[in-house]
Amino acid sequence: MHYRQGDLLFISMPLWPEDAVRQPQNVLGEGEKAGHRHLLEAPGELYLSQGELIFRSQGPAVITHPEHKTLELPEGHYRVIQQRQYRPRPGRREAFRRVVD
Amino acid sequence: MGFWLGILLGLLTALATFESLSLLVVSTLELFFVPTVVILFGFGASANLSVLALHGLLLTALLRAFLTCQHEVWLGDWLGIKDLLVELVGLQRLLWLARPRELGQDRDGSGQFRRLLEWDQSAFEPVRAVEVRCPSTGQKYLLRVPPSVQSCHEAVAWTFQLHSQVYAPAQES
Repeated sequence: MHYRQGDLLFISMPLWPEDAVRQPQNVLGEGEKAGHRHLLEAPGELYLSQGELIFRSQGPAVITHPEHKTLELPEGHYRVIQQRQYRPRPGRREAFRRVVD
Repeated sequence: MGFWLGILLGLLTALATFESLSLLVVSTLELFFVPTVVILFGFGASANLSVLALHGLLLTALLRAFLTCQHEVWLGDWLGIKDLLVELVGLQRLLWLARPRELGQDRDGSGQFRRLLEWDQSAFEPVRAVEVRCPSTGQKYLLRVPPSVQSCHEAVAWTFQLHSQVYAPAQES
């Protein structure tokens, strides 16, 4: 199952990786306006695993953002995917760039 | 003809002594160029003028980048420069000034209207983008996608690194 809030997609994961590192803040993504962030509310916990943000929650995972409707995800493990745009000339730059809303 | 005249004007601008004067000239070019193109579109200008408008905008963006010392523009090949200039111009402005072709439309899971648009640059890779609307704020966004994308659904799936057959959010906000 997956859920979308703005430029972030949350995909459920069947297994929890062993190399996950707990993050000090539950910020899932920054917005283009100052202070506009996608926040994972407690009791959700945010981790980093192999360069990807993942989170888990013992109860429903609540995700808030000042401009978007609050999402309530079922209890479980999720991977965070940030939206991207196409950049046709990889060269010195990435082949895509991240979107911020 | 207008394009080459623009290049000549641009070179003259670049040779100007004072950076502030050069930027003023570029801003003036943009100020008169933009309304002229809008008026022409208002009277049903042809698709060729749309391509001219696109190249005109890229030229002014190139001049601005040169005058503000954005050296990355000058380090790439010409196709790379064109793509960077499309970024500098911005897709929203492109939508307003250079009429795109609408390749398809549909609605997302929350009922919001989406369009797949393309600006054909003739000899260069087309600029293809999906126009989406945020269900919470109502704001429209243009997201550039590869020219191989064939539908709005496939385009949005690509932006989230998923195949179109897999992408189906249970909730969207």
